[in-house]
Amino acid sequence: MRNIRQLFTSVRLAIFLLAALAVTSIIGTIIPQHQTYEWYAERYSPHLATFFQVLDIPAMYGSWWFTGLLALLAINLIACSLERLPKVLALIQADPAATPALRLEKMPLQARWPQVGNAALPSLKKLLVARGFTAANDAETLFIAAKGAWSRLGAYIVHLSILVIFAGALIGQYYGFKGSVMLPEGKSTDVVFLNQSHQAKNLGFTVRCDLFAIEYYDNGMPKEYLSRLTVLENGTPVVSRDIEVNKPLRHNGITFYQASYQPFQDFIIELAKKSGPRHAFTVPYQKQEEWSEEGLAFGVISAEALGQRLERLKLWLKIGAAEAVTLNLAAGEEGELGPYKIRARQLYATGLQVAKDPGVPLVYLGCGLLIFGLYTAFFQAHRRLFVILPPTSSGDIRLIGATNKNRLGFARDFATLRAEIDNTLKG
Amino acid sequence: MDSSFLLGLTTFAYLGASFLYVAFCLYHADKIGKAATVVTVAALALQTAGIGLRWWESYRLGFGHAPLTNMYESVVFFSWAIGLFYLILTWKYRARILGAFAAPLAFLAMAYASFTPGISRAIAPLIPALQSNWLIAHVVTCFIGYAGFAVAAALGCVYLLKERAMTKSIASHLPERDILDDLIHKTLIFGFIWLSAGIITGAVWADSAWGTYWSWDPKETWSLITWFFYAITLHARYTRGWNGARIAWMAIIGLFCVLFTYYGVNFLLSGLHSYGSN
Repeated sequence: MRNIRQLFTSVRLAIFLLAALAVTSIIGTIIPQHQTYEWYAERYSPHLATFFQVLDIPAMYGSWWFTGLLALLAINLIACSLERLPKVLALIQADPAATPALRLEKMPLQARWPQVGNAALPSLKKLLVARGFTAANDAETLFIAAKGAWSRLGAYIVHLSILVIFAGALIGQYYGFKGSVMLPEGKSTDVVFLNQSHQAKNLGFTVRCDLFAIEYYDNGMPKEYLSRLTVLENGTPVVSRDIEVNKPLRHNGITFYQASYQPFQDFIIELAKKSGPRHAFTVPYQKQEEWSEEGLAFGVISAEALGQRLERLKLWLKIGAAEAVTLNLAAGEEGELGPYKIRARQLYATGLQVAKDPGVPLVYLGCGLLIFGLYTAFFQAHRRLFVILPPTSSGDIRLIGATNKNRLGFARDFATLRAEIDNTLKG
Repeated sequence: MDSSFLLGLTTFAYLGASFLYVAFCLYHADKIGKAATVVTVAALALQTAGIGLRWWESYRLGFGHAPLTNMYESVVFFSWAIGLFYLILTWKYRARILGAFAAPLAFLAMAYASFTPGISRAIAPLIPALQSNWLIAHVVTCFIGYAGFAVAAALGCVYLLKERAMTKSIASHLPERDILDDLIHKTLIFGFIWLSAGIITGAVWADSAWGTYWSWDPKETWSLITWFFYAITLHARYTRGWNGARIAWMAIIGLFCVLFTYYGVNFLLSGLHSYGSN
């Protein structure tokens, strides 16, 4: 039992675990993750593929042994911290005035001056107060300047922050989900498909894609992917918003991200009477569609595309029994035909990444704690300075200092103070 | 005059500074040392102007974004951060000799960015994934960290040189070993905090763009491996008393981790960070 305790409270184990995590992490960056058995068998060999499966290499960052290493690290962090924290807390709460004389003797920075008579004492005391010292006793024989005692907690704040991040990740794992859905324009869904299992997951509300659009720069590079989404609850629209990459939509803790798109061979043709509302029709390539109330029939004769991007198209339209007429339009351009306004574009499906992760706030809290803890641990030091004035005119004046970090910087400050005291004593 | 002209001049200025620092190393003439520092300051000024001008030019082209968006721009910024960090250290700690390692690093980065075929130097508009306020925060934090690690490795070289200097005269012009050791430790800490911030800003950005703050993509994983490496180094120092040559070696090996994270991953492995490779 004692051995186990010693093992888990040792920094040696922490260093070993960090090294093991670092080295094993490399595997998953070299061997592509989340492929099928057949894929590995073809790329490597059936033997290796089987071996990979046994060791969970295809999903190694979620494997039993990798999460096991992370769990051991968490236990190690907790054990190390609990073991050392009481001593550290005692150090922080300790009254510097109660520091035993023996310990003062052993402090690394020491200076002394032979007593030069009481004349210089008032100006020395004034200097000390100006430098942040306070008298530790009524007789004013001990002056102390101590700061940053709490900075000794820095390392433990860092350790805590990592545990908080782990906790956030676990919450996300058990109470969240990651899925995706390909949603054609005009269609709606109340389920998405989970990334790992491909099972359908009910959202508890409906989301509809009203529009998908790609904007381009002049040089043809895509500038923005945009989806207009409407959230419906019990058939009633509650939110309608445009989402872009980096600008998701959040509803009931579930967030929709613009992730991909898919162009179809179909077209959206919008027709309107001159002052009337638009009616949108989804029309497959070279198929006939009808607006029966108006007695219209229409379709796409041909389309020109640049890559996957529709440039121009040729439409036909037949009003009642009249002869069909044709019309050339650029994608999205509005044309007129008799009393009708007409506009056509390609049909797309928007690819949405859908995520719910209630652990995120905790993870971010952990990240904030991590930075704060690192700053405290590295840039704040527990510095203690003591000045001992002899009670009588015989005996030495002493300056003693100790710090737990940045000894060189502290030694410089100590030397400065020493010179100041020198000058004061010389008058 | 355009930004590529200024950045080209920067490359040669860093080359000149490198030669001067090496000469300073060999001859220890204070005048050469001063000249080297002056040339480095000039190089940094040119580089700052070049980066600023490139930023402005991107607005003139009609899309406007900080010049931190592809391999070329990030290497230029890396070089800039090394130059700045080195000058601050020299000014604060009088470690001019460090320039013999830092200036060549800044030069190599610029030369790599400027002359390697296959690296696009054109100012291109941003693809949708990169259009985020997190872009600047993420790239700046990461590269300040990387620059810190680069300077730590340079200090590690100085330390080993001091320890193994063939002649007393070279050694006598190098800072004392305990000062170097302390500086290595401080720059490692500096780099570690900025790397942590870089990983965090990356995670927050990934969450706002893709809905996952961590997806074990090779770039993320390698940044974490680098983080583990420096965490081990710092723990070994605090609890096992590692210092001196050991820490100097760790600082040098660490830079290889950093370079693989930054460079190797883009070219050897595939993943979400593919826009970094051109």
